[in-house]
Amino acid sequence: MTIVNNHSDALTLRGIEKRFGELVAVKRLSLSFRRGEVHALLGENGAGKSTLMNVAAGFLTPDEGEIEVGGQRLGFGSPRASLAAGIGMVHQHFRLVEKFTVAENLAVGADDVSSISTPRQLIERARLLAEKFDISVDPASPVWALSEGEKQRVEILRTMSRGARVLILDEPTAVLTPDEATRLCTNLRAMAAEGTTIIFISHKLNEVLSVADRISVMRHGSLLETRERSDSTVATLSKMMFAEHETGTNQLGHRQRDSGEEILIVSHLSADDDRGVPALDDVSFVVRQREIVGVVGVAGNGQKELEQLVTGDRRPQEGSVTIDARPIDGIRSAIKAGLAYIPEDRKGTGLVPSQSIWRNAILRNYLEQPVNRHGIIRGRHARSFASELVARVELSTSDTATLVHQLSGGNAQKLLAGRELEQRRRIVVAVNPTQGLDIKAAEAVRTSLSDACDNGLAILLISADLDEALGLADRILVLYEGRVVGEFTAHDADRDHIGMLMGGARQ
Amino acid sequence: MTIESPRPMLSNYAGLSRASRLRWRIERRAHPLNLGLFRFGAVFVGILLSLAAAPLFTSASAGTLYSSMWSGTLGTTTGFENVLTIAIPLILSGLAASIPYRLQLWNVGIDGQIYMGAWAATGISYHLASQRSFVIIPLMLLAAMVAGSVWILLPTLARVYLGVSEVITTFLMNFVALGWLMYWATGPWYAPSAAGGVFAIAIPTQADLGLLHLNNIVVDWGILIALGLPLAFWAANRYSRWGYEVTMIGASEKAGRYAGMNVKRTLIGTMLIGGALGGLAGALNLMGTNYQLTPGVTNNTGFNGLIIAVLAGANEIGVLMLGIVYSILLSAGDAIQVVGGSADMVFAVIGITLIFGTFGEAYARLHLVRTRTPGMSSTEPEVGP
Repeated sequence: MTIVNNHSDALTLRGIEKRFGELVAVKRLSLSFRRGEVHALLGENGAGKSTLMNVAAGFLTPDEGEIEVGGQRLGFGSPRASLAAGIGMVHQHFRLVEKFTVAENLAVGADDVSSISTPRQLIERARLLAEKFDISVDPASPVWALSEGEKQRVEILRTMSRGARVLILDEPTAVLTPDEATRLCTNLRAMAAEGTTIIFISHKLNEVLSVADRISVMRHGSLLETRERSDSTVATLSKMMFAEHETGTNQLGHRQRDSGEEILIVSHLSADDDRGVPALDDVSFVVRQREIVGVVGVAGNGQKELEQLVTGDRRPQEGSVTIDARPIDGIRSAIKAGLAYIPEDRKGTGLVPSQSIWRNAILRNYLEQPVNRHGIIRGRHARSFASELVARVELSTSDTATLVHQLSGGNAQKLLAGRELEQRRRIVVAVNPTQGLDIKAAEAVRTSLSDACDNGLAILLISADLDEALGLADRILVLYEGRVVGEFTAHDADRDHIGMLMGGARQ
Repeated sequence: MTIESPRPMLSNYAGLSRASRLRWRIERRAHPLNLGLFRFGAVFVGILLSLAAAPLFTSASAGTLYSSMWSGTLGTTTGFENVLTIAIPLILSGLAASIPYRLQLWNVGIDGQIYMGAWAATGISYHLASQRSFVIIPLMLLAAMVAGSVWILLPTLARVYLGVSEVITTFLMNFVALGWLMYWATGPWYAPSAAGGVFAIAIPTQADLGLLHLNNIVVDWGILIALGLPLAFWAANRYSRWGYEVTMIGASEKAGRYAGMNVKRTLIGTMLIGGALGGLAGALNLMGTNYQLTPGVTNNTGFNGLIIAVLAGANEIGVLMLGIVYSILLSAGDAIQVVGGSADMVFAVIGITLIFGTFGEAYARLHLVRTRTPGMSSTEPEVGP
C-alpha cells in the first residue's frame, strides 16, 4: 500500500510495528485517516486494532515506524504530546475518577483551569464545553452515579475539550445499551460533519456499516484492505475477517466418531447480561457423548453468558440446563453432575498461580474422597493424585510443590486441561482453550480434547477462533446477538457462510 | 506485603526517563528468596540497630539502660513473668489480624473487640458471681468471643455484600466500643473505689484465671491458650478443608468460585473468627491482669497485633514468635522508665522494625536491574552499520 501525503489526511501511520516479547501484535502497518471521516477499524479480537491505536495515541511505544500529524512527525510514547497534536483516545474502560463530579473530571489536567477554582466555576466551564461540542452531560453529577453511556460522553467531551481533532474510540458500543449505541453513532456522525476525524474500533459488522465512511479490516496484526462503505457488504467484510488463516489449524484432520446419548441439554435458554440487557434469547441445543460441539461468534454475542449458564455461574431468566437430566442450579451442582470446565482465564480462575501444583491439582475435587476425609485435606493423597496428573500430562516438572506461576503458559494449560479431562467427568466446557499458546502447546491441548472425546466425554467448545472450531468440532453453532443463527455439521460447514452469519447477515 | 500475587511489578512505563538509554528498573525475582528468613532477619536487624542507637536519646548511661532492659525482660524472674503476661493478648491480637489477613481482609478493629470481649466477660461475671470458677470462666470466655464476633459482624457484612472497605469500618468501630465501655465503667458498673478514674467494680475472684507455677515462674494459664492457639490455627490452615479454602480464595477469589467454594461464607466466617479472637484477648487480659473493666484493658494491643500479623506474613507460627519478641520490647519499655528513659522509645523501635521487615520482604521478592531502553530506534539515531 502506498501512502500519498495528502493535505486532507489528519493522521498517517507508516510502517508501525509493535511486538510484545515473541508476539508481533502489529506488523509493519501503514494507514492514513482523512479529515472529517468516520473510519472504522474492523477485526476479530486480537487482530491488533487496539494496539495500533494505542500506539497512535501515545499509550504504547512502537518498535518501528512513524506517525505523522498534519505533515509533522510525532514523538512516541506520550499521551500528552499526542493529545497536544490533536489525537485523543477514549478507552474501552473509562479513565474517570468515580468520586469526582463530571465538571471536576473535565477539569483534571486541563490547562485552562486555574489552580484555585470553585465548584461553581468548574460547573460553568463544563456547561460551556458541553454546549460548544454539543455533547450533553450533567456537570454537577458525580461520575459513579452515571450510566455507562453518560460516562462515555464525559470521556468524549474531555478528549474533545483538550483539542482533539482525531478521536479514537475503542469498542465504544461494547458497554452501551442498544439505545445508547444508536445515540452515540448519531453524535459521531455529527462530529465528523464538523471536521473531526473519528476512528472507530469495532468487531461488529452491521454497526460499522451503518456508521463509517471508510472501513479498514485488520487480521493478525496486518491491514488487509481499506474500503469505502459503498463497496462493502456484510459478505465482503466477513469474508475478509474470517478468511482462512494461512498457518492453518484446519489440517488437524477431523476425527470420525459415533456420538452416543444426550448429556448436556440446553433448552429455551434466555438470560440477561450484567447490564440487564438480554444477552441470550431462546437458545436450545444438545451435546452428546463422544461429540464436540463448537460455538462460534464474534465476541460479545452471548458466549460469555452461555458459558456462565452452562457452568452454573449465572441464573437464566427462562429455560434450563441439564447434565444427564440433572438440573444445574449452581457451580457446585454442575461439578457434582460431572461438569469439567476449562475457562479462558487459566491463571487466575482455572488455576491459582501463587499456589503449588498439588493444591491446584485438587481444586475441583478437594471435597471428594480420598483427598478429603472428615474435613481434613490429606496431603499425602493430594500429592500422589497430583503426581499422577503431572506424569499423565507430561509436565516439565515432576515436583508437585512447584508454584503454578513458575510454569509456562503451555504447561499451565496442560495441567488445567489434564485435571479437567479426567475424574469421571461427563461433559467439558472449554473456552478458547488454545488462546495465547505456542503452536506445539496448542496442538497438545487440541489432541487431549479430541482424545477425551473419543474416550466418551461430551465437549462444548466455545471459541473465538473459527479455524479451531472447524478443525475440532463435529457440529458448529453460530451465535449472533444471543441467538443460534446457524447450525452446521463437520461435513457441510461452509466457512464463508459461517462468517456471514457471524457478521449478522440474514440466512 | 500481600500474600503472593501474580501481578508483574514492572515500572518501565514508556513515558519515563526517555532521555537516558540506561535506566533502573524494579523487577520481580523469578525465584523469591526465603521470605520468612528475610523478613524476620530484617526485623532483628532493626531491633539491634535501634537498641544500639537508644542511649543517644536518653539521659541515662548506656550501661544502666541496657541493664535495666535486661533485668526487666529476660534477666529476672519478674521480668520474664512480665514478658509472658504481656505476650498473651499480643499473640491473640496477632492472630485476630492474621487470620482475616490470609483472605486479604484487614481487621483494624481489634481494640474494639478487646473492649467488647472484656465488657461481655465482666457482665457475665457480675450475673454469675455466686457460681464456681469452672462454670463462670468458660462462660465468660465464650461471651467474650461472641461479643468480639458481633463487633466485627457489621463491617464484615458491609464489606461482603456492599463492598465497603473493612479497613475504615472496623477501625471506626473501635471508638464506638470505647464509648460503650466508658458508659458502663462510669455509669452502671462504676466502682466507688475508682475515685474519679474510669474503673468498673472488680470481677469476682472466682472469675480470675488460675496461676501456673513453672519452677519459680508464675503466670496465669492464659499463656497456654496463647501458645496453643497459633499452633492449632497453623495446623488448621495446612490440613483442614477450611484452611485449603481460605488459602485458595485468599490467592484468587475467582478460582475459589470456580472450585464451587462458598466464597462469601468463607469471608464472613473467617472475619468472625478474627473478631472472636479479639474478644478472647480482651477477656484474658481482664481475667488475668486487670481484674476490672477499664479503657486500659487494651493498652494499644490491637494495633501491635496488626503489626505482628503483617510482619509475620499471616503465618501463625510467625505471629507466635513475633508476639513474644514484641512483648519483650514492651516489657523493656516499662523497665527503662525506672532509669529515666521514655516508654515511647519502644514504639519508635516497633515502627522501625515494621519498616525494616517490609524492606526485608521487598528485597526477597524484588531486585533492581539496570537495562538498556528498548525500542527507541525510530526516535533516536541508529548506532552501528
